[in-house]
Amino acid sequence: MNIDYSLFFRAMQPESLLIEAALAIIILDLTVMRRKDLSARLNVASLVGALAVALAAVLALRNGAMGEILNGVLNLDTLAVATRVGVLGLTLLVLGIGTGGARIRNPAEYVVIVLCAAVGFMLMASAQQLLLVFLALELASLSLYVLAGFDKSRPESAEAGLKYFLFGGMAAAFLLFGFSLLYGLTGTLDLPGMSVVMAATGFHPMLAVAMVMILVGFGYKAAAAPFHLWAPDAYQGAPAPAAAFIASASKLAGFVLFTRLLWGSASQGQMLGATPGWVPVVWLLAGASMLVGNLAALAQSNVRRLLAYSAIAHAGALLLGVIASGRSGPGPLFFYLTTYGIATAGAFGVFHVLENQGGAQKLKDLAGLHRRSPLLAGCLMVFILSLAGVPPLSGFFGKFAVFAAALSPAGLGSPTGWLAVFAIAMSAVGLYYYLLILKEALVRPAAAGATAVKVPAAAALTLVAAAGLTLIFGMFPSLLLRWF
Amino acid sequence: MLQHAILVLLLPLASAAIIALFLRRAGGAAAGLATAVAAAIAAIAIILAIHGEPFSASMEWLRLGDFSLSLGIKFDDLAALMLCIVGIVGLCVHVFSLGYMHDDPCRGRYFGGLSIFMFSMIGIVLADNLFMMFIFWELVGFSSYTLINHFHEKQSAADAAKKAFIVNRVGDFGFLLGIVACYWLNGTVNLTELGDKHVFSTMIPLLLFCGAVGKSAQLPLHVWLPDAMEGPTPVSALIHAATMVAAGIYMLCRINVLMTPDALTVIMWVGTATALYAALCAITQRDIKKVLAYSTLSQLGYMVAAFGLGSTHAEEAGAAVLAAGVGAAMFHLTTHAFFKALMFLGSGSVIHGCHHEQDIFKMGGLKAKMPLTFITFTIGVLAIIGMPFLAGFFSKDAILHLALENNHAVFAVLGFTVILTAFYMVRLWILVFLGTPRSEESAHAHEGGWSMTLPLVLLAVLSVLAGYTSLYGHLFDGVWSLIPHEEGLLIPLIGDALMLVGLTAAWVLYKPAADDALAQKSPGLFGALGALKASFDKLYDYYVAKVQQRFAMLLNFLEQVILSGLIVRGGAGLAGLFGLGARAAHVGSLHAYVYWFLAGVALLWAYAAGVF
Amino acid sequence: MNAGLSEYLVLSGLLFALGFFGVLLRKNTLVIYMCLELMLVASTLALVAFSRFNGALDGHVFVFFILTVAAAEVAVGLAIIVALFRKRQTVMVDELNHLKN
Repeated sequence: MNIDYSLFFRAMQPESLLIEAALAIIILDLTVMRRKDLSARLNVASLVGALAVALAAVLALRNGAMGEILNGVLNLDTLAVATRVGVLGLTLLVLGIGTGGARIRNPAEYVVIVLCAAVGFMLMASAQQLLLVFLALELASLSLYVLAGFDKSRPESAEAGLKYFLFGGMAAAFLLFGFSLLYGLTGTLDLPGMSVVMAATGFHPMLAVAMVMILVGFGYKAAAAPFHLWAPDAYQGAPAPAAAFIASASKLAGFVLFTRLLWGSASQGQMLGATPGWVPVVWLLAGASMLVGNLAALAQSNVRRLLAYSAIAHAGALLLGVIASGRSGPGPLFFYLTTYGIATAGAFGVFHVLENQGGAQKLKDLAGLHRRSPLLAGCLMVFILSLAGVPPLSGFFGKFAVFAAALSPAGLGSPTGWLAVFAIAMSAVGLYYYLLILKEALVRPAAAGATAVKVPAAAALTLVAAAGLTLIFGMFPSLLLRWF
Repeated sequence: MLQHAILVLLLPLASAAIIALFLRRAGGAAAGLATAVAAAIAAIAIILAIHGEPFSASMEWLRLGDFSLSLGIKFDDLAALMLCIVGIVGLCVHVFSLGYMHDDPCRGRYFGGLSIFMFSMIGIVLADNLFMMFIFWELVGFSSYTLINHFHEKQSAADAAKKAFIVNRVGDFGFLLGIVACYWLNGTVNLTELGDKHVFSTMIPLLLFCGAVGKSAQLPLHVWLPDAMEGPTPVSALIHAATMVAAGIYMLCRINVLMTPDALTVIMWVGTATALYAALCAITQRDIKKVLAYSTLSQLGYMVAAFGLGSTHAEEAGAAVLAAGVGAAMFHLTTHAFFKALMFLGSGSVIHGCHHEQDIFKMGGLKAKMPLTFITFTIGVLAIIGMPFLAGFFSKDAILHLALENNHAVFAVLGFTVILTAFYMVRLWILVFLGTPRSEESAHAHEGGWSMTLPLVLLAVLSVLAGYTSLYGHLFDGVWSLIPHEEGLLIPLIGDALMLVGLTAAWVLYKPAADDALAQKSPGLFGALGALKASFDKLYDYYVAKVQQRFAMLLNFLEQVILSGLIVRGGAGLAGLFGLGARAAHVGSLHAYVYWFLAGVALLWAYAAGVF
Repeated sequence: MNAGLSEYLVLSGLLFALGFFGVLLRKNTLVIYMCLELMLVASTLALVAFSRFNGALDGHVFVFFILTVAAAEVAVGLAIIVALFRKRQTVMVDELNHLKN
């Protein structure tokens, strides 16, 4: 075992940078910023955090695909690099929309935990060994639990945090039990080694048990039905930036990890996904998620819960993308994940700004947004239409790419093809509730006494950038797809 | 020439962007810019048409494995003709809007919307593949939505915009499925490549036709078009009469190589039914714009029927007969674009003159007050009812000729529709222009300024001349050569006789009328026609209110009551199922979640183990 | 008597089920939380047993990491429970149903 540590340290530069920045923020907050008011502390911490994230993204890009590190514990292939950059971009977005929120009582800790979660996501993107997979998942999850319960001024936040935590803990236990069974069956923790052993030994009944437990764990992370029930509560109760983070970066990293677990990276050929039984179970999860998510969303009157059910529906489409990426490569899935993340985080950002100005979360609280803040209304329109999959926004192209990838191998000759048709029909249903949001925001007159909304500069900049990216990726999808 | 084509596509986009970024508050400047751009588009379109050489160019837009999409331009006589129509009618509407929208506080948004529309419409015309066409297809839908919604303070306008958007999505869903099916079976969506190699499948053209049904407002997705009249009148002229609604017909002509006889039969009957249905509906309308809207529906039905007719014998006769449908449909599209835009702008002039009164029973006697509008509108009416030597006469004869040759039942229906067309158009004309004023507003009617009369005159000239294909010289030969030419006078004679029947009936009934004569003389028939019109709206309202909403409520019920109520409260039974006693009698909702979790795990295991 | 691999696995499976049904049936958040820990411990038992019978060390190493993570989870979980108790004066899950449509 000959390990090149200099290579390892270089590969871990972005992660270490984020941790260093986190420490620096804590120190800064305890010394220089100690007596300042909350919003100044939040702004400084966010600024330092954002700079570190941007620098980390540059480092990740400069290092590029480095291949396997530490004897294959990490695999920094193109997908990993793209995911790292994507996660960092979404982290920037979350930090940007988080500014101006006066509610958070410990701003520096908030930024630090966001950075920790980002580190977890980045490790998830490249992990190729079960131990590291588990550690990265737990680092990310624990950070997210804290973020969900961060707003101590609202009891709902703590409740959301607790539900998310208990449910997440259970899913993690399932996942871990599944991992331990996999380890027992194959005698190794390395994913590539595992597939070699499994190819040699063939199917074992215990593999089905392990497989279901792992899928339960990932189904929970992805908020796929029937493991989705935490999502509406967490999205509703958590502070908006935390909800944005849970919905965007967490999904991106989780799905990339899931894809790697199922199919391995491009260079290694097929892995667990080739084992009989995996794919049909994922079909089931995908179909159930699209059905439950889209139909339940129709009846929601709370925008955040509505977005949560829409997230469940999107999780179904993404699972379809996971199945399809076994043949077509992860390009369409990654495109969908990134653009979905930007749009959904942006929508949460708009709601965050509104909530900070006293608005509650009901659909009707959006009424007259086009008069109260044309900027927010315009951005919201871009995000929601992208989520609905209306061209030329990126959400349309993401859907198109994933469905095309699902249909291309066998057309309607396989269940995947039929699932894609089902997904197309379901996205037509989805349009209805997305338009409900837009109707409130763009058509309804404002309630009497509604005042203009003041958008903090950083949040405005972030939202406009996110809306711009949504538009640009929709018109020039090659910008993202040429990585693969 | 390629540069010209790219320029004509990007000019309106640039105009829209400039208006959106800088000129939102400066209505006058926005109007000037948009109109100048429209003039440039018309000029370039004519230059391109005169040059005439077909060309195509494309660049790869993205690649996804072995799947690639390109953006490209396919310019041929068909595209040249459509581009000229869009350019000329667009220019007229822009100029007319200068006067019509002069006092509107949101002029910037209005002209920006028009520019976006011009961009998207030209995109449809020039697109060289179905996918690109679909993108611009959605964009015209969007710009139509914003323009219908222009007076969004009005609830009816907001509802109409929403209805148009949603109904169109239904059609677009089929269109998208058609594109996917086409790609799947043929391996390409490029229009030129499809001509060389394609698999005959009735499914593909029918799915693609769904898009045309939505955009061209054919039965049963026609419900949005009459409501869309809530938009400003020039918008109705441009989008909901001359260009956008014709995009469906244009799209059909673009994909005519994909057609199969079965698909064409369906298309033919849909068009025929729409032509008849809409003409029947038009008879009872009181709103000047609604009459014109139903008349548009009916004429679009003619075009769709013509397309379907020309090709029913595609199997025996090959491409030649198939193309006859394209020729007749595009010919009628051209003449209709001019005379219908003329009549819409004329009605805009009337509405403007009567201080936004739209009820034709409150008009009357405008002949003397608005002479120029009267003359031009009369030309439009004569053109649409098929008066000899005006544009509509030639194009309608071509369609009737095809119908007589191919399908006598269709010929009978379309012939009957000719009577109805003459009836409702003459009724409208008499009520608006003849007699004495029946309201304060119409008594003080006045002609608009030059910007409103000039487009009327131009369009009136075109409504007279557009039918003489020899006048075009060699322009659009590729389309005109496909028009079926009849021998003898049989068709013109039948057509004119039918037209005279309708004309006379309207004259007798409405010449002295101050109120709706048909309603008085034959209330039963009138009521039946009104009910016919309302039937579709009722059906859809019922569907949305009763089926869709209830379904959503049912799901909410399941989610809330079954999940947190029955399972939680009645959780005793479930827990007993697991043999663990009745501890769950008072658990909170978190436990319901865990039960679902358990159920999911059990289900997945059962599935993985091959239980089902 | 020497226990074989299958005995360990059965024990670990039983522990896991015990934990899961504890989560399912208990009302006190703290007890639910303990049951979650029990599920984690069941997994560690399986890992150790596999590692022992496979004759490799990586399973043991994994267990050390799991214990560390579990400790971190305690910190986070208890903090959330305490925060919630301050707002609601309760740790019973059946009273935590304020989040709904």
